[in-house]
Amino acid sequence: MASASDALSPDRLVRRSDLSALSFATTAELADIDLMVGQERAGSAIAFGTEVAAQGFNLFVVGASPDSLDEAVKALLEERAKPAPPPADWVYLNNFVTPHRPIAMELPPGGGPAFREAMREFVQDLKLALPAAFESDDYQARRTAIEQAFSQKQEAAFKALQDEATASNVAVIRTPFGFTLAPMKDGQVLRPDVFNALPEDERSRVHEVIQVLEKNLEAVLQSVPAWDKERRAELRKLGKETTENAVGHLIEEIKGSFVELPGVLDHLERVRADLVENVGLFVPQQGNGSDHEGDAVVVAPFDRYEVNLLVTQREEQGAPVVQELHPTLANLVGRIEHIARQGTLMTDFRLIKPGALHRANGGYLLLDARAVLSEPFCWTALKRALKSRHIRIESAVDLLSLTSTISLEPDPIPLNVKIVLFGERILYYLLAALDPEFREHFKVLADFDDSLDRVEGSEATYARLVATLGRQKGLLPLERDAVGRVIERAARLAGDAEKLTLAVEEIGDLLVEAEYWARKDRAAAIRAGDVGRAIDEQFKRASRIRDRMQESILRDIALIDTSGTAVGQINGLSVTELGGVMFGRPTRITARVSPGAGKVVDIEREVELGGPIHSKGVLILSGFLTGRYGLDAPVSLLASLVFEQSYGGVEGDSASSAELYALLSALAEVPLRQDLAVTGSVNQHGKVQAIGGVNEKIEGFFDICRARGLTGTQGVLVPAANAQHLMLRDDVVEACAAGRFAVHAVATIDEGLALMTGMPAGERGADGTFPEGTVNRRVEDRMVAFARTRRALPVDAGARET
Amino acid sequence: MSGPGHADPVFRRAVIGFHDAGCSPSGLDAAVGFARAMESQLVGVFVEDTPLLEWSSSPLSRHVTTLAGRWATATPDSLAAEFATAARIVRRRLSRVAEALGVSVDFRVERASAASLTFAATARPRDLLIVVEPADPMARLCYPFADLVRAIEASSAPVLYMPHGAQQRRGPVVSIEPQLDGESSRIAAEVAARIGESLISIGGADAPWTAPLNLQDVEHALAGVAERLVVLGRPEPTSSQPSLFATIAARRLVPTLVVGAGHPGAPQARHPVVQEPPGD
Repeated sequence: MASASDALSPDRLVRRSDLSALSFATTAELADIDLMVGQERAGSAIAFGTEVAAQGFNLFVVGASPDSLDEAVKALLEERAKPAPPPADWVYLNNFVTPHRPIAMELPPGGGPAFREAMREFVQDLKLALPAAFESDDYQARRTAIEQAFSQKQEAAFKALQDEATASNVAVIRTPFGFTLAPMKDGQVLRPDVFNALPEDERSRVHEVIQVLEKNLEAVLQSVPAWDKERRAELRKLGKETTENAVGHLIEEIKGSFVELPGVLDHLERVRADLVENVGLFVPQQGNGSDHEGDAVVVAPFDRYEVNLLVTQREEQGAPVVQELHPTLANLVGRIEHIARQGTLMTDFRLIKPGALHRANGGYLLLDARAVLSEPFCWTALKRALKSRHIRIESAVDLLSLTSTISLEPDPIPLNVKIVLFGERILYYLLAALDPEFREHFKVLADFDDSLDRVEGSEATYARLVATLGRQKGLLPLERDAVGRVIERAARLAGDAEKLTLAVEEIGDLLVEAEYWARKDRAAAIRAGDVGRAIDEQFKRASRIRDRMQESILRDIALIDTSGTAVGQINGLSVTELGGVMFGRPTRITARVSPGAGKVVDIEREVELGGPIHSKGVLILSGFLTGRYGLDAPVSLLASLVFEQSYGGVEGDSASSAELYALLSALAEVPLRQDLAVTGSVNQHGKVQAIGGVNEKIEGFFDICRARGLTGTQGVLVPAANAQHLMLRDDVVEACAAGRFAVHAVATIDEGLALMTGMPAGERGADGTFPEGTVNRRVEDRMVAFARTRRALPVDAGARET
Repeated sequence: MSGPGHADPVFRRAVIGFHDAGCSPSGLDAAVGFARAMESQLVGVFVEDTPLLEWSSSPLSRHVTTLAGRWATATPDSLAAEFATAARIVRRRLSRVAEALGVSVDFRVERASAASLTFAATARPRDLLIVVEPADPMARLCYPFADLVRAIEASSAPVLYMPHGAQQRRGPVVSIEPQLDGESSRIAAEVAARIGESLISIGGADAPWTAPLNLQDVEHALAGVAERLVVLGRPEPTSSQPSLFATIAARRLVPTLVVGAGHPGAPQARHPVVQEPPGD
């Protein structure tokens, strides 16, 4: 039987926090600390990545929990960005020559709004100045003169024709859409019957006269379009002159405000030319407003002079730090919106909207790698932008050719941005392996540590981290004991008594929940009890499956013994993670042996429920048996191992030591204690090796034992190497301290065998044999017996030698 | 818009006459706008010119369209079809303008002489006849419009002559009274009150001109005035100043309301369309 002295002492089952280096009552007294604490490697990488201006030195930030990294990195980048010069403003302007290709213009930081306002005022002035100019007496007089000249020209020609017709006794008559000629006499048109009554020669004469007049009238009518063209040309010329006079001083006024910006001055000249050329768009009576009807992109009058302010930056803001949480293609590179006009989707330069690349241009853009990769076209668009160093607005709809709406090809905008991608390590390694362009664009890896070494002073540092997190979230301060409890929880989350997790998001969540319970009690600060309650409640919320599993054991549906002994049967321990909550549970492992060809059958593998690592663990057992017992003859054993009542997949090798104990028990026909559970992997030399989830596994067996009543003999065998990871629950530690439960650290299979069987394992003596009365001796004897049995069997009797 | 909104309209109906498809758009807008301001019921009458229809049965009858510029034989059927098409166009345009101004319009097609205000045959007491000047200068010079202008002088009905390019603006109503009958002043006062404009009266005993009234006198009297409407008592037509109302309207680009007793002795239309056969 295992004694209390074999078990780990209570102080090794949990490492209590030590805040003696830091004097404080509550976290309100603690100064803030950089959230990048303990991340020197990643911090240096970020500093390097942000300072190197060369192309491709973008950052890929990886960590076990990337979601919790972005805040810290963002804060760091904002610090760096603050003193940096702000980037230029960018505007899109109408391209008067080819409206579907809007012009991008760079302006000094903060200059965009001023330019936009200036142009808005200009348009407002135009709305008054242009109509006023065209309603002026001078313009109207000149216009009337042109119109009258045209009318007079028509009238003169028509009057001459009419006089000629009258002289020939022919009337010119207006019809609904034209003219007709009719004979008359004494100033009156002849009725058809009267005309028909005229002598033949008279009718012929009239006919000839009318034929001549028809030709003359036709000539007059054909002259009208030419005269009208002249009229329009003169009116256009007059309109241009009038416009030039009306807008000239307005243009010069704006130019005065932007003399330092040649791009703006050029644009204003283009505006002047466009106004003069297209005055009909603004003054309807100019009549040439329909000149643009055939254009693909039609911009409403006056709107064409607007300034689409894409991005602007206040001078004191420094470089931008932008985080795009939803990096669709449109949100990344910008988009061109459309509006429905008479059933058609139309667009113009004013509907160009910026993307995250525009907003972050000249600064930093933070993106979640998984989100970028899962959005269609986004990853390739990002790489294209980085390669070309230009932001070119692309639409997924256009890329797929789904629709054929009228769209734009805006000028690409030069790109100078530092991309910071956040992702899991696996994403980084997969991209590095599978995407040949990846390394070209993301040359700097910032690999965040998952935990902080629990060394001298680190708990004090962690206490400040807790204080900072609490303040950031606007929580109540934590009492000293509560901080200690959080630190212990951080070690437990790290799965290592010597480490503290740096997954600050989880710690932040814990603080929020602890504060909830503190406020429930109207406490002024978060207490250790609140933290403990929060931990319990977190577990409780997610532990329905664990409760059902335990229930099935306690109701003897899942067969687990916690007392007595059995041959070839052992309590293994497994751990399950569901929805972020891990819990352990015991699983019965059994072994059967018989003479055979030296094969250990892993039933889990045979039915494809065992994963490769588990299979590897079982195969190692063969190596152990061969190495330890098959010195003189081949191992003539057929053994089968199974996780009883396991209907799902089994993976990992943490049960390999338990399987070996069961196998050796079956071979030696020595019963194993059922009040103990075992975890740990084993190598071919019988050394017990560390496994994961040790705390959860111990607690899982403890909970079953406690539910059935702790006997004082129950306990768990864990690898000695895992002793440093122990951060057990208070109730487990208390039970161990009271001698009602025990955790045994074993380094070898022999140590474990002694504990599990109460019989010494035995070492091979100088004579090459194991001592009598030891487990190993019994195993070897049984294997020799198997070998003999096998040799005695005829060859065709090998049905069991599968 | 209008002044005292509850009083009876000065003109119960405003009847616009059409005889081809070439009505001036600006004139039509202004005519409908005036009818709305006067709160008169708007009526459009398209007159299919019977003399022209009759002439179309002649073997000599050919016509040329201003757009195509080519001659083609005209028949009663083809001309009737053209009239119907023109009527549809005019009706659509009138409806569009009226709808834009929120005015309801009644439209009808009649066969009559287009040169003689015959659409006035449908007129009732307190109706206003509106004649809109064609945009095409050639149409203004020939039958039937030229004859219609003379018919206005001869008629005693109130006729609003709306020039092509008429400007719709706020300004006083100017009453010009070449004779001392007081008719134009009375109507001008009523109109001015209805549309909420001031009234300027010129003429009567204090007339700054010596009869007969001519364009120069009017221009001189209205120097510096930007009027909205001229109300003109029918002057005695003279050979030197025929159709003075039309000339005033065209020069000043404002509608001219012609009122007062007509002058049947005024020069007749140059082309009364039908001559009775000799011996009839």
